Amino acid sequence: MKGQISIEYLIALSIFIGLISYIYLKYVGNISPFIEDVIKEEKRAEAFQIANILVNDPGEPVNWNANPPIQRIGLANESTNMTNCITRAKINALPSVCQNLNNLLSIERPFNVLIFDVDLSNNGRRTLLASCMSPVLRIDQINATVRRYAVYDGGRIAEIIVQV
Amino acid sequence: MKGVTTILEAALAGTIIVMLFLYFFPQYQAKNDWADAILQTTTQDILNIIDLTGNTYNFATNNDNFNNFMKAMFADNAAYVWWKDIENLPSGKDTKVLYFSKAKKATIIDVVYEGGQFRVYSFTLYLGYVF
Repeated sequence: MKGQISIEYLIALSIFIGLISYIYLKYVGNISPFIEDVIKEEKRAEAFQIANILVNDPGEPVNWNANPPIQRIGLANESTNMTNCITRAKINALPSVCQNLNNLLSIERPFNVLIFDVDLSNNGRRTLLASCMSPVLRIDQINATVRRYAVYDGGRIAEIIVQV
Repeated sequence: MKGVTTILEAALAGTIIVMLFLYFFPQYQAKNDWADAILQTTTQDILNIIDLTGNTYNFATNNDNFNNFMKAMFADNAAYVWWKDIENLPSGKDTKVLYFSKAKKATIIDVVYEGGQFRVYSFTLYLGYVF
């Protein structure tokens, strides 16, 4: 039976093809979680960046809440020039720029910003001072949350939460 | 037994391919230091707030006030543990160092007039988790 393929050869070929398929599927299966982790990493970095700008940058112009047009926003107190020191006037002005917050912070992804007052005399009870909630960001899409703390009004404590 | 050699060769080659594959492409797992970075940032934030609210000396010398402040700050996160280390201040009080914990620290230097002289002391805050 010269020229015909033997059954042994077919078995060996099947094993070989099976192994190649296994390796390929194993490799392809790694790509999806890898991409998800990269996206999560980017979200964490952006959440940290937004929180850091809000806490430690006064914005451009530095009194943007009273002197538009606004180039960039930040909540830091421009007169003290200290870290973790923000102003009540800028917290109050934050909701008025919610629609344009992505452009002002140069962030494309949707994100939420929440600012709470921390009442130390009441076991740290949180009271919402201001918020900017993205209309397109669902709770189950939030992968990164960053909390920062700052002082405002000369001694009151604010908690700034950024969700991306 | 024609073909047996071919099967054995294929099985051997396959085993080698799988072993090499697992060696060069191990199971994917992402590692990052975000948890440490966020914890370090939070620790520094809390210490800055203690300083900005003028409580450095108060918390250095009064453990109850310090603990009440920290409890209020982390009222919604019971996972955190904290302690402090005060150096070069006779009236300064350290709080108990927790064993089996991983923490980040931040230090601030302050000056106070105590006992008839100016004293430069350090306030080190530790914030972390029990494991």
